[in-house]
Amino acid sequence: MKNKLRCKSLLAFLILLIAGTALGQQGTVTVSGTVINGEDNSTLPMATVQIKGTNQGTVTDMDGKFYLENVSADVILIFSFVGMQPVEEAIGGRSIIDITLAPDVTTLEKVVVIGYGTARKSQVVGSVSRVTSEELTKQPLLTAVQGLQGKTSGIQIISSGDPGSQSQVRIRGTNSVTADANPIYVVDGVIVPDITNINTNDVESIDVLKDAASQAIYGSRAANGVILLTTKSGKTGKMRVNVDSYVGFRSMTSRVAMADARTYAQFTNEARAYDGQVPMFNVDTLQYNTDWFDAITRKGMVQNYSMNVSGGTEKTNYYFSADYFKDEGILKGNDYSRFVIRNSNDYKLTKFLSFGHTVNFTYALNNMKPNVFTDAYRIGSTAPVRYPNGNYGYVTGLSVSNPVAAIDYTNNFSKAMRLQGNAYLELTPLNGLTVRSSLNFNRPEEVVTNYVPMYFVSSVQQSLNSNLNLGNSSSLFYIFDNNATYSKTFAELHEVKLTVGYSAEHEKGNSSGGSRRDVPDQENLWYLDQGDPNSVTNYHNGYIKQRASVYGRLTYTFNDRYNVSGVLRRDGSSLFPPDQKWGTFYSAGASWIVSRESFMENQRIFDELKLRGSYGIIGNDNIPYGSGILTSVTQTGPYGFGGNAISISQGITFDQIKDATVTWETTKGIDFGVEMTLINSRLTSEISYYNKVTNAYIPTSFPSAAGDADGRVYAKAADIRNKGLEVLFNWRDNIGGALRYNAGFNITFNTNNVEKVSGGLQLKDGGLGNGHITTFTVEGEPIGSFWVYQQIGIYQSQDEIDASPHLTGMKPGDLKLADLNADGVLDERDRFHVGSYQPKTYYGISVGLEWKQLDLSIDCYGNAGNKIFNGKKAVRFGNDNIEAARAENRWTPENPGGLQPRASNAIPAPSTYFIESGDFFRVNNITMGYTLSTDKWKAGISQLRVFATAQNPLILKKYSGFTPELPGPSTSAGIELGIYPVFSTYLVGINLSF
Amino acid sequence: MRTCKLTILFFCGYLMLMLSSCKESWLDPAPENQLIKQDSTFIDVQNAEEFVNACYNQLLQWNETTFSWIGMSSITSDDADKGSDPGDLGTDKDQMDNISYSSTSLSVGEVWVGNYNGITRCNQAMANVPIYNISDGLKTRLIAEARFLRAYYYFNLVRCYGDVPLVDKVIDANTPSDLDKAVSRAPKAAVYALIESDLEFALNNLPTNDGYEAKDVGRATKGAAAAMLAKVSMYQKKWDAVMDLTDQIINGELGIYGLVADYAIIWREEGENTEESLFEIQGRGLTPTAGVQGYFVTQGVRGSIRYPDNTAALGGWGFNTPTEDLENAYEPGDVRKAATIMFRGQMLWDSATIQSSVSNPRYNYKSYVSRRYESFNGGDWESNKNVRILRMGEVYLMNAEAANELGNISKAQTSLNAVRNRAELGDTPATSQTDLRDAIWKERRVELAMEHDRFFDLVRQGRAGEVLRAHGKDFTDGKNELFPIPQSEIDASDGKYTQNPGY
Repeated sequence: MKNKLRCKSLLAFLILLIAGTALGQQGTVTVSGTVINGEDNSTLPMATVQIKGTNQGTVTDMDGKFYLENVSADVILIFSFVGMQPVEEAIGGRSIIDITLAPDVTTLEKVVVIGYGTARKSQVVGSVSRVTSEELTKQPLLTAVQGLQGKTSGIQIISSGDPGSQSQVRIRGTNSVTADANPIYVVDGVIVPDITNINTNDVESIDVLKDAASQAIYGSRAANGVILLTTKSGKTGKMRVNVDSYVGFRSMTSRVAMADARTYAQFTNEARAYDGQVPMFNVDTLQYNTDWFDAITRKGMVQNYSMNVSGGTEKTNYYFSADYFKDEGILKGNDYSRFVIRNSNDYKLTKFLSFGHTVNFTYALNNMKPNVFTDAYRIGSTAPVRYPNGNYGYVTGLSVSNPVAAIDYTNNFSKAMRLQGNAYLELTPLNGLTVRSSLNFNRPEEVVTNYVPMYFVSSVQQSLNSNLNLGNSSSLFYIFDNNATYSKTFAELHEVKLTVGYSAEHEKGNSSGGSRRDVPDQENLWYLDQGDPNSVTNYHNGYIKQRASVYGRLTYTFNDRYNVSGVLRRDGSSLFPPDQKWGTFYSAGASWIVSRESFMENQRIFDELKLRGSYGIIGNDNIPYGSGILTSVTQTGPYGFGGNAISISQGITFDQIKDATVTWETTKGIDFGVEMTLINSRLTSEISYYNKVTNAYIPTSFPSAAGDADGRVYAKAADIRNKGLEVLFNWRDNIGGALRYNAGFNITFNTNNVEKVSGGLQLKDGGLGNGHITTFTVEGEPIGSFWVYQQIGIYQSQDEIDASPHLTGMKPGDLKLADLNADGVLDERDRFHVGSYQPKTYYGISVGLEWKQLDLSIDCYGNAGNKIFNGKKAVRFGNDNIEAARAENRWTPENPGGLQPRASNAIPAPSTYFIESGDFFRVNNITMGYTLSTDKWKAGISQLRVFATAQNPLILKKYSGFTPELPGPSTSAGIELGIYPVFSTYLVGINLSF
Repeated sequence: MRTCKLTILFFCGYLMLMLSSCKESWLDPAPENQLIKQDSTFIDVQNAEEFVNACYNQLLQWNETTFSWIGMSSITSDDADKGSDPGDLGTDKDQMDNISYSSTSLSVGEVWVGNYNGITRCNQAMANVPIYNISDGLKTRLIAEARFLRAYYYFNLVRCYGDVPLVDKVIDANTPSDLDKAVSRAPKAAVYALIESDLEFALNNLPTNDGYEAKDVGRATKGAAAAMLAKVSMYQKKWDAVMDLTDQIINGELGIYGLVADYAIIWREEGENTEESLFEIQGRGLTPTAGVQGYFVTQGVRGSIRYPDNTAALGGWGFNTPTEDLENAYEPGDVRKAATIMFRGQMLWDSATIQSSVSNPRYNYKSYVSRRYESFNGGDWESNKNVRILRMGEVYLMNAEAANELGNISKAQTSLNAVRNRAELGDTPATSQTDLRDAIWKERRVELAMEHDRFFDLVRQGRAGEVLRAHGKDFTDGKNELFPIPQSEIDASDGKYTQNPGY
């Protein structure tokens, strides 16, 4: 209401101005003036001042001032700025024109993308978060989704740091036990499993559908959340060229001090002595002391070069971009580079028909190296990287590879190409009716070449023959989608918007590959033809998924205050058996814009206040492929009759029991929220509560005697509940007009709880590879809860061991474990649940400052309330290196007060000794930029900004290991086994616009 | 306005057309790269044989013949230690070694699952082979092969676990009465009865070893069925049957059999499928491989082993190492010791030398594969090693034991001496039935060492507790004669399986 008034008064003012100057002089004049931000009365730099009907114009300087020479006195100027309502102003002979731009929309009038269309925020009945491009592009990241970390509530991003890897995303907790729990991505209508092929600079905005009501429009695909990416397109007006680039380096932030050679040797000898074995080292004649982490890491370069050209006329618009990204990572020899080209065009063919297309091409080269951090952790510091004779070093009696040799002998390349895009036709036959038909496609293709030369480092690290492995995979996905949207307002009170549509989806993929031995060690000869034909192996397999869907959404708004919205979707999927193919998903919700009520007119607290609530049922069809093929024949593998001279014979059988009722996982959820802006729009806030329960697939067990090979049949036998609260605040203000600042804080509290597990199979997971498991998913605990023994000290004597229940093989100095159930026996029944890797809360903090030409932003992220199992510390196969802290102050008969257990080569039982807090707080990004005054250069540059960024410069963590960010499957996340240390990135860059 | 309406009409028509093209079959595409029952599975006659090949393929599986089985059948006994490095437990092989396993030990579960997977395949073969349009003779032979293998799998189960679920046909998981079969334990006697009926069918219907074509060497034979039935009978003390069956084999009535002269040759590639062999698992180490998964590498030398030119010979994880007790069990001059145990620092038959730095003093020679003089394709996971299941050495010893139990001392001595003489030992000095029984049992130990027999043999002889406790193992009489029923299977049966006593 207030807004309308403001608009009207502005209009009146403009009319007066035009009228008053109508009699002004003709000819050319010089015009100058200041553009003011009507929101806070600060001056507005970088606003566009354009002469109507031409491409000529200028932008305002840092003080919001503009200056135009030799313009015709009778032209009209258009003043515009992102997020502001443009104003057209006739010069009317004046030489000074000051203009105030009003914000174009209020928070609630902002448009968000909701899937198959858009809506005003006020009309949204569910929970949708939007993050815009400037929030994302300042970070040196592979994908835009990593940039979401800490930006908004309800979204948890866990990244491993491995170059080229996709982050793990959890929206409002983990729903699924065995199926994929990652959300789907929808890039301009194309549903894709990942967005590693999208240049972050091409992203206009990201909208995240967080609750069942907003997700329901994607039905059986939506239960893990939907991330909608809108890419940039050309805007009507003059051509714009942007060049963005940054260059920097990454370096390891967080190290774990390993024992030096002497400590390691002493520890190992001591451990062996307890087992009655001869010493492995003479500690006085050690020759080497290697820091293996130094030997395998480096400062890795990261660089990005990006440019785009965009523009348009009334009939067409265009957008073209090219990007090159190269990330070396911190592991020697490892690098990832990616080249992306994107082109997007729209054509207005007639008044009622338009057409457009987008093509995105990506080529990515990944030079992969094995994750040798684990070997670097385990190998003794007594061995050199190389001996003086050039041979690689190793520790005799220790089954660990030399990590440097492992890097050097690995030639593993992946070359991936991906073509993605769409074409659409849009018809507007009646006012308010839009019919849209689109074909969207995605075609990834990857070739992996892995050559292992013949080598010998030690008996545990050798390759008896050279071997070439070639893998080839490709798939084609397309979705043909047709929908119609009708929106009309009746009697200025009743606003109706109806969307109906249907789609057909197809995905078919295959992978093939082969290997041969004895291929020469020469890159130009790495072809299967060069190998021994007697060693040929090959494979070729494929899959198909087809879906058909019908969907609809009806939104009704009364008097701009009351909204109700409902979604209905029917999905059919080829993944399920004949009677189970079709499912119905729906949601309903309402919102109330309280601030528009008459009784709110006189209050001064809320500028805007909205309440919303919704309910929905959605699905997740990502259950293991093949579960729905009920009568599959098993190829058992061959058998060699007749000796080696005769070819092998194949075998077939039926050994899979299938659940004939297999279908998608169902999630039901409610969501309530309050959205508000306060204190003259300085503070925006959103508070949401959600509660959802997923009926999830888990393997249930059948006795082997019943005829199933693995005794496991997938069935919907678990209920997982996630409930929580999200709070978000954003403050925006200025001090004295010149210093503008904003601060944001968001926090999510989530409780994950398994409410039901049935089917006989105990969901134990988190295997360490040494025979021990660490998690056990049970009712009443979060998914993947750690399940360990309670450590209650260190045994001081054999008498103490004998006096209490203990595990076999215990010696004085070992960890003392509690007989929790006090039954006089120490066994699995004494293990207990100590929490999971899922945080109880995670939060983001951001601060931004702009002062004259300077800008500064700081983003932070943290999580709390989760646990980590320090797996690498627990996994020792004998004579491995240890952390310095583990060796120091260890128990010995002479040091009975030692806090660390005795030196030992025995495999320890999982206990609370290895459980650590997963809490961490990290400064994600600090960026400082300076925008140069370029208007006097006359080089046509409209903006030139230089900036410096520190990504992850600081992490505060309780965990003693390398990183607290440990992505993994639902039932085994949070175990640090395959290490990838946290690293920081420092870089400088420029943004240049013409 | 007219054009506008036309356009709408056109567009709507176009959309309808698109909708109709979305047929039912859109959601029912044929599964890619996946044979299903409805395909040509039952038309192609070759598939009849493939159903039976699947029964053999189970013998190659990790959970059937490899690590867990090695643990339960060998490391438990006084013939073998866990081996490897002290800290490397091979999941639970330390528990196998000191007989402290429980119902949750991995090995106990894997062996159960492996053998039931084999039984599933045999039941499927028996159910599906009759559907094919092939000759009755071939049908009968294929079913006889499946029944021989089913007997083999059940014999493993009954020796390990005692009473076990008796599933003699394909289970329909949706039929409660069928599922009942799978979730209740049948008495040991009923299991033995099924084994015997399977083996009798196999004995009556399988070809002799010279009755197969060369391409079929390795399939179950009349001789294999007879030897297996003899062994099964021995476990039930049916001495007449043991004697009768072993006599028939020794007399050449069931195929061409005899003791090969050089004992050491038996475990080399050149000793595969000789007249010594009644049944062995065929390991193929050439590409495409079909070897027993990990059988060699789990037991290979842990540490450096080199040829004189310093290239590496095949090593492994070093589990299942022969005990000092076994080393000392051989009489002086017994050639079998050198064929069974390889020692730290020793040069092997293929001139590879075990370096002095290796982890253990002794390794299992019977599992060794030479990469230089035997078929080898560069991979040590599926090796060329054939695992010998039934051979003439044991047939003679079964014959001797049966003769002795039936009071035919001289016959017992003759058969026992045949085995001793091959080992370059003199005739047995034992003359009384009791002495001879001890002599035969001792001979079984050294003749069949590291061949997955000793633990079960000791239990059969009723002296497992006495012998294994003397060896320092924690064997409880009345409990450890059987392994525990895997807890995972008890859970899967919804608690319907009972646990063995003491666990």
